[in-house]
Parts: sequence; C-alpha cells; structure tokens
Amino acid sequence: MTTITIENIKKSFGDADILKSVTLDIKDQEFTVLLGPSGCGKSTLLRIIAGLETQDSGVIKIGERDVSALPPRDRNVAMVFQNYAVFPHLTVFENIAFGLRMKKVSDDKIKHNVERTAELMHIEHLLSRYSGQLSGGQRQRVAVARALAVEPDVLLMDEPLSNLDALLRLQMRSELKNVLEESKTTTVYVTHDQVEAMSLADRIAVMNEGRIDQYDNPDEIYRNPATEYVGGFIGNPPMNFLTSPHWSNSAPDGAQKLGIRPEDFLVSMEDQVGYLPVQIQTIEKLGSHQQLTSELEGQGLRINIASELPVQQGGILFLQPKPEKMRWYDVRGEII
Amino acid sequence: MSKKAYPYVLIMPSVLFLLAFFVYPFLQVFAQAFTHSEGGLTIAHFETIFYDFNFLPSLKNTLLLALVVVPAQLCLAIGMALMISKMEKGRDTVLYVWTIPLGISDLAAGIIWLGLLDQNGFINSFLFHVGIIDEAQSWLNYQNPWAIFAAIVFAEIWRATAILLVILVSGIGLIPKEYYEAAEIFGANAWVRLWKVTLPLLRPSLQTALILRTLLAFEVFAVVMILGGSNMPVLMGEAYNWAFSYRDAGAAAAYAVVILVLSLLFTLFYLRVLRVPKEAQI
Repeated sequence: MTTITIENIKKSFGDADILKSVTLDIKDQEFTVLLGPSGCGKSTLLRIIAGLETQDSGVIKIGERDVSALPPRDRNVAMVFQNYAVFPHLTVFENIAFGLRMKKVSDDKIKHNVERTAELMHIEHLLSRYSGQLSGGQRQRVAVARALAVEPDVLLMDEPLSNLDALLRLQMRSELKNVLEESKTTTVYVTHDQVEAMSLADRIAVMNEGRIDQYDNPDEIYRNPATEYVGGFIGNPPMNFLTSPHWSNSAPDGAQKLGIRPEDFLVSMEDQVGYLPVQIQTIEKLGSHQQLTSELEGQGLRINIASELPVQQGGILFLQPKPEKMRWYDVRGEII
Repeated sequence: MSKKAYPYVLIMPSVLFLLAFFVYPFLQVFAQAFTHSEGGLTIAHFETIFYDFNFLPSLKNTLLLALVVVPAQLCLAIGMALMISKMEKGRDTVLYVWTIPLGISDLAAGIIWLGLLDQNGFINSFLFHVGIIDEAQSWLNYQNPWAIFAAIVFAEIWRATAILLVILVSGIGLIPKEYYEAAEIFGANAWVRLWKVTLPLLRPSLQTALILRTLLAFEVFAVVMILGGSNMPVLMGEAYNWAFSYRDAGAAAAYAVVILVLSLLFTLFYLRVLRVPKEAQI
C-alpha cells in the first residue's frame, strides 16, 4: 500500500530508444494499466519498476523511498510473469511460500499466509502438487497467490492473462479484479489488450513508442483521447479521423482532423439539413448493432447503427456527427 | 513404413553398432571372467586377483582418485558453466578453449604433465633458473606417493573437466530466465538463486555429467601410467598388466567385471539421489 513515482525514466537498448522520458504518478491502492502495442516499452517500464532492468536515467520512488538503484529483492515488490514462472521443482505450497521463506518469516506465519492466499485464489486443494500437474489457469493462480503471499507494497503484472484461452481469460479477469480490489495493493499491470485494460484499470497509461500519450481513467480515455494515436488504439472499431470534413464550421483554430467514434452519429435515411451522404461499402450485422464501412468524400468511415435500420450494401445513408461528441486534433495529432 | 516403426528404424544403426562393438565383446569378457581355461564355471580368476597384493591398493587408489577428482571437477565445472552462461560475447570461443584438453588423448595429456613435472621438466628448469631451487628435484618417485597422487589429480582435472562443463552449459541453457527473475523479485540473492533454482533445475544434467565422469574416473589409466607407473596401481592398470604382462586373460576379465560392478553401483546411486520426479520436471 503505497504510491509509485516515476520521473523522467529513459532507457535504450543499443540504438533503440525504448523509453523516452516517461513520467507517471501512481496513487496509493490504484490499479494502473500500461497499455500499448508490442514494442511500445510497457514491459520495459514494468521491469524497470521491478528492478529487473536498470534505467539509463530517471528516478523510481516507491512511497517516499528512492528505489532507483536497489536490486529487486530490496524493493518489496511482487511480480506475476506472463509465463507464470512457477518453480517446477517445488510444490505449490513451497512456490507460494518462496518469498516468505526468503524473508525468514516464521513457519506459522508462512503456513497462514500460504493458506489464506491459496484460498483466495481457489487453489487450496492443490498445495501438495507440482507445477507439472497443473493446467495453465491453475499455474496462473499459483503465480498470483505467490505474489500476494508476500504482502508486497507494489504488485506488478506482466500480461498475466495472455497465455490463457479466451474463456478462462474472461473468468480470471473478473476474479483478479475482485481479489486485487480486496487486497488494496497498488498494482501496475501490463497488457496489449484494450478490453482487459478498460475493464480492470482505475487509470490507463496508453503508451506509444516509448512515451505515455495519456494517463487517465478508462471513460476519459475513451471519450476524450488525448491524441489521434490513443483514439485509434482504443475502441473497436477505432475512432474515425476525418480531414477537413464539411462539418468543419464548428472547428476551433488549428484543427486539422475531426475525431468521432463510430457510434456517435445521428443517422437518417433521407437527406436533411446538416447531414452528409455516405456510400455503404460493407455491412456487418453484430446482433446488438450493425457495423458499416462506408465512404465520405473519399475517406473511409466506420459507423455503428441500430440493427433495425434497413440499409443495403452500395446504398446511401445520411449522417451528422453528434456535436457534443466531436473532438478536434491539431497538426501534431493532439486534442484541441 | 509405419509411423510407429520410424523412430526404431532411425536408432537401429547406433544400436547395432553398440551391440556389435560394446555389448558382444563385453559379454565375452564377462564369460571369460567366470570360465576356467579348460572350460567350465569358476571363480578362480577372482580369487587370483583378490589375493594379489596389488588388488586392494589399486581399488583404494581408483576410488580415492574418483572421490577427489570428480567433486573437484564438478565444482569447477559448475563455476565455469555459470560464468560462460553469463557471458554475452565470446562465449563460444571461451567454451572451445576450455574444451581443448578434451581433444587430447589421455596418454598425450599424461606426457604433457610429465614434461612439466619431471626431474628434467619445465617446472624444475624454471625454478632452477629463477633460483628458487639449487638442483632439479625428483617429485614423482615412490618416496612421494602424495606428490604422484596430486599430479594425477591435477592432470585429470585439467584433462576432463570440460566433459562436465559442456553438459552443464547446455543444461543451464535450458533453464528459462523467468525462474531467476522470479527468484530475484521474491528476495533471493545470487547465492540463494544458485542453490534454490539453478542446481535443483540442473539435476538431470548433473546426473548425466556425474555418471559419465565417474565411470570415466574408474577407467583412469594412461595418465596414471605415465605419471605414477608402478608406484600408483589402479584397477584399469592392473587389468592391463594381467592381460599383457602376466598373460592371464581370465584375471584381466575379472578386473573388468570389478570395474563394471563399481560403475553400476555408482550409476544406480546417482540415478537415485538426483532423481527428478516426472511431475517436477521443467
């Protein structure tokens, strides 16, 4: 239970600048997700917080403590790895107890902590087994239990769900959310999966080529993407970006592009004032709504419309963006 | 060809080779050890060697050499393998250099070390010219059995540590680095990581390396022959003497069987002690 302060962290491997001056303030008990595509530096940042990598410059503080130069074992962090890293030569009990044994905690306390966290993760019946006898999902539970058992200041998770199959991932996601909320541990979680990020995070840090483009709560990130990159990365399908559309009369100075989410259009089958015609290229019926790929003035446009509207491929539809949902971006791709 | 038969067909040539050139001759030796020269079963050959005055010294020397050489080599090889695994550049080069002694026959290795340690050898001349000693010393004679022993230990360590090394290097390479990172995060320093992660996960490789090296230690011969001669009898040397000096093939065969029994016992010991249950493997 503590804050994490990350100041001007830089890291390069050879010629590649992986992190270009990253600054991040994580509050006590907050669940922060580092989100971005592979290669954006999110795992490197997590590993720097853990102490597994050393930053080229910058400061990491956990609480008031400057841990920039400390080895991982002196930072009082715990980590859950993508490949679980559950020791194959130890039983589940000894795996969960590993960190406590290193701290030379009394046997009673070890037993108590192991049993408590095992129960929390629903693996209390597996304590005498070896990792080779467990499924992927069970191993993941052991890895989480091992991390929680040491009662760390900070819990770090590196794509912990990405090796699980889709159904299991959903189940583990909600379970993890409950367990972590209860544990009240400050958590940093790395993923490339935006749905995972949106559903788990108190705040998401969207990373783009070694920088943090936006650090905010999921709603804010979805509604007001700070950059064109964030709008294009979050949301499925992503935000539309239109260059100098006819709706520009309300545009502020310096506006280069209009950003508008696919679901934020007023739709009409007939021409009306302020509406523009788009040609429908493909229709995907998704049950709850229809997803259209269309063309407006030579630019591609994705639209979500109600499933009952009788649209046809090759047909024309009239659109107007909801005024309160329009976002404007300048030349550098930043929101105005 | 059916898919099931395929693996067996592939290993067939090597199995045939082993049967023809190892198992068959060995069965012959085994039979010879228990066969009277006029035919018929006997344990006379074993009586011959057991009552020979060289049997107990040779058994003692062989076991003692193995007991000193193998653990020393094991520690060295683990240290060297850990160093190599941490290297980012030039790793192959160092490994090749360290394995050069493996390419030299044990006879040649013995001669090299004799060349160094002999009364007219390099070390004597060096010490003499530097002025540390006034005259050349004879270290390797019957008055200094411990010097002979030490020389053999050195030569064996120099010659054959790399066998363990190459096996351990490949074994260490198989351990995923996440285990070390997890151990580091959860509070283990380098020493604890070695004992709690590396060595337990290295058990299969340790087992292979130790079995191989110990068996070879029981067959130690040429190096001892060169550096110790008759002052340091060992089992394999006695087998050689009975076969070629005393012209008693039966007794030589009996020695071979003694070496085999020792080897089997130690192999079983390693298999038992370093056993990794199937569910606890990587």
